[in-house]
Amino acid sequence: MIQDFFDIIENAMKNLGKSKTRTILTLLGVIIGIAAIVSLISVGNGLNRAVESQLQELGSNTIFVIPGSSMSFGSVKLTNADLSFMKNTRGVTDVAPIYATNAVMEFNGKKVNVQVSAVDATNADVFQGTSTFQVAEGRMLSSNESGSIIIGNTLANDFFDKKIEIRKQVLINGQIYKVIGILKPQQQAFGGGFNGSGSTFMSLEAFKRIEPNPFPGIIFVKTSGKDNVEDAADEIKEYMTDKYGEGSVTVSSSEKILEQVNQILSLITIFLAGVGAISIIVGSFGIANAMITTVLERTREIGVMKALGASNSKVLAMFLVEAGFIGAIGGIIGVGLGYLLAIIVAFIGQLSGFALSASISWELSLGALIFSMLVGMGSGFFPALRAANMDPVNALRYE
Amino acid sequence: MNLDIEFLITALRNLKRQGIRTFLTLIGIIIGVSSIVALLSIGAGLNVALDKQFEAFGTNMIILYPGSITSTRQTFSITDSDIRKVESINGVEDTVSIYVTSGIMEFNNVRKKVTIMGADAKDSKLFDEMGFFAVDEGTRPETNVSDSIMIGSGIAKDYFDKPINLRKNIKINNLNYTVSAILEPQQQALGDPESGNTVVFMTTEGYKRLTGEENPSPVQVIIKIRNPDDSEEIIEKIKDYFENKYGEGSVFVSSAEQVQEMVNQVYSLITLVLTGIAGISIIVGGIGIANAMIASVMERTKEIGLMKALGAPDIEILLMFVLEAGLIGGIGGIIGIIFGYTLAGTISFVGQAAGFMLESPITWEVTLGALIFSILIGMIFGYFPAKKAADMDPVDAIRYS
Amino acid sequence: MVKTSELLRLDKVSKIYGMGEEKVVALDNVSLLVCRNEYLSIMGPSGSGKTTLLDILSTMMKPTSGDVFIEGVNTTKMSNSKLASFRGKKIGFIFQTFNLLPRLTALENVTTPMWINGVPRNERESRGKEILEKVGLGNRINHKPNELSGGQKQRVAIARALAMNPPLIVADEPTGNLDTTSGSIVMDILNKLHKEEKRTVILVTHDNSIGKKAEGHIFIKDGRVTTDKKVCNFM
Repeated sequence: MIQDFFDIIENAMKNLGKSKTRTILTLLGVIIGIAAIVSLISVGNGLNRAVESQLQELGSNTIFVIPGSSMSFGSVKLTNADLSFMKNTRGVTDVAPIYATNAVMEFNGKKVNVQVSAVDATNADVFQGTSTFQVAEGRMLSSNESGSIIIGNTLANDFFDKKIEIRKQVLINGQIYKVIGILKPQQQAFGGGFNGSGSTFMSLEAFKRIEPNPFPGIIFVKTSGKDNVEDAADEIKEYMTDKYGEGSVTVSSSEKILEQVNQILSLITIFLAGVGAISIIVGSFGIANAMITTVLERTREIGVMKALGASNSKVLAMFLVEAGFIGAIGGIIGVGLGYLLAIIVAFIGQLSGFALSASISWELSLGALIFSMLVGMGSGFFPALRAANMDPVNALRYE
Repeated sequence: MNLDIEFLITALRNLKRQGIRTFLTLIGIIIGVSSIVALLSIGAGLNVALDKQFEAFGTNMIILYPGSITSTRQTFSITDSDIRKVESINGVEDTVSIYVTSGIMEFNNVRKKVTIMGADAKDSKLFDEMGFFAVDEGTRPETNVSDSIMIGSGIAKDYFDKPINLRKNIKINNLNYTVSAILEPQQQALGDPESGNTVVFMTTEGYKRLTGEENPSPVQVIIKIRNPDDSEEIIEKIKDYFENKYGEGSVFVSSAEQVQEMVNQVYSLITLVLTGIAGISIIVGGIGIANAMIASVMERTKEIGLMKALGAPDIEILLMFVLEAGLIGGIGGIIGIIFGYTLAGTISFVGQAAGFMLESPITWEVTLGALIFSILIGMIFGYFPAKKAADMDPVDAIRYS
Repeated sequence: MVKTSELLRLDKVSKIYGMGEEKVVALDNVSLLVCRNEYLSIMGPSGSGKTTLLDILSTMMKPTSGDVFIEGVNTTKMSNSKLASFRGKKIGFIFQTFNLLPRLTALENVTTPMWINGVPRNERESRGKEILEKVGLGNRINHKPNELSGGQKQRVAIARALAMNPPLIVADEPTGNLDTTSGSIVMDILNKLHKEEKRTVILVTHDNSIGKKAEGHIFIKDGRVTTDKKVCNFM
């Protein structure tokens, strides 16, 4: 039985090898189709992972509280009382607001409108270790340094025509500040997280000089464990809805954000892959066509095989395996090519600052392979059936 | 000329002979072409819809957005005095500042969240010019009236379970307002079609009263200028003013045309990428044509040998097969174009039924382009098999069995 | 198991094409008994039904009515896969147009029925070489059909027919496409298969000079059969 299987495979290989040009052309169709789908899904998944890792860095038991929903531009101004409530919510260990406002920064004779942020020194440990707040040059702020600032990488390099070096001075709303640190470059990964690349960070005291009534732009709420996140988030959300109205404050856990982003990204990936799948559909017609032609050409052969003792089901198996083979080989090469394409696209993307990566997973590889084999066998099914049911007597006399 | 017709007829006859195989090859091209045509048509339709929305602006409008358009959170505000300053620039006729917030509206004992837009202009005819907020019933509230509102058709109809008529009283955030106008339904090219109809419009005074803000920050300022030729100059002046006061990157100023162009570019890019991905399928279809032609040539070896023996020059054989391949491409192309437009038409029909302003225009550029492209694909992919046929040795060919 | 030298039995076999007025009776109630180690030729004018008779007795075609027994087993009632397997082991085919698989070597052609019928892989090559040597083509085993002459091709076909060591060899105009010399070589081999290896050989021919070389003759005309073959002696 097993030997039979190997014989059929060997026979299929021989037959495919005999009409090289046709096999190669048919293969090309499958390869191109599979490569398109695999590369799209790979990049899509890579994007998913990038977002995941960015969010994970911010902590898995973190709730993000953002005043003002995407629709309303009248920002809700949360008060200290609100912060206290959040601190006292069950399960919450830390409440770390990031205050933000706009100011005019002057350097090298140029004035640019920048975002200025500050955190309360007591919360510094909440942000430590996240890539958002890692310095590439210089050092972090220590508490109560009100004349020093940390600037984001893009701000340092791209905003003022000249790079702002460490220990240089800038004017913010007319006041002098010294740059003591420049953050590591951050890559854009759509949605979620806080990108400080174009921002300036200062101590809360210094911030109050610019904006005497600081209001939080985003609040990180940490809970003691994963289990309390949902409940704490619900409680905070209810409080905000009651006090400020529905939809006035966005309360979301990193899991929820991740879920939503994942959903959107998955949809986009599926849609793109679907468009790419059109190629495979066309390719499958190519396989069907090649199989019909091959069955037609080998009509006599099929008659001979049956005379020699091949049953109808064996003939069916022979041709199905041939078709499946084209699918399999096309699938393997297509998967390889697809990953290669994805890596190239990701590389180009990364150069432009996007956190693109090619995700290589055995699920995708295996899935694509099985899919292409099925496509092959499915496309070749009817021609194979025709061969199987051929009347051997007529087949032998075919011209 | 006679020769060409004969070619065509012979080619068609040959294709018909092969029946199902030609059919399968055709399907490949049809699928490829129809997906490309459908995508391009819908893409063009979206562009048209976008253009329509911008049409209202005309060439003498400048748009200003506070903050950079790429930043996600707007923490930057423009003051009333800034707007006065802009109005004082020579050449500026009028400005419309648009404020947006949300609030809870109450009517018929139902409380629901609504989006609130506040705007007015010195000359309220500006609104009618722009086609924004076209009034269906009632009158637009005057500039200094702070307790009248205009409601969108969706709110007026059934958003609160009962229709709201003119002169009815409603509450927003517990403040009283009277409905002085109901707006016409808006068509949206993007986003939720209903969002345009569940908006409440009021004057700036009304807005200030609602939010309690003395200096609300507009989300958009539309500036009408007298002479379109001054557009560049005025944009520069506005930019200079804001950059001096708030720094570079504090506002985004552009003529309506330029914004329209930018948005068009983004849409075109997306359409192009999608079309490119779909276009891969045409390549695969072309490969199918090549494959089919190779088989065809092989089967007709004897015939080719005979033709050569009877004196047909190689070039004629080559042309015959290239033409056949081009014909496959062409027929597939025509059917694909028809299917593609049908598909696009269906999508736009469904879209329009759901409230989206989606069209699927039939343009001669796409049609002609697709047709020529598919014929070319056929001929290109059919070239090598055709060459093989043309190069066959007639003696061997006749003996082939 | 019936211990008998009965190899092939046709029991009231008819083959009718078409219906009603357009009925064609290719075989009319034919009964026939063939034993081991017989050498028969089937002869008759063209259109007489001799090809149909061959198709049916070689189990390639099913009769409209009646039964065909091979070694006492009723093949008419068999399922397709059982029949195919049975045929592969019991009957060897030789065709007028050789019908070799064009892209395989002589050896590969001979081993084809072996893999179809389940001969273990390691036995195939040696057995194939043996048989090819027997027909005098030991030095041509790696040649493809287009590198062989007509007579050589037919000999490869004969070797292929012997691959599964069948008791019955069926040949349809084996010398029809051969010149006289090759033709007689082939006939000699067929003779040997009967005389030395005690196989039953049935050949169809329209050439009387070939046909009369057989031991027994079956004449068919208008679907009816007469024969001068000797009666089988049962053990």
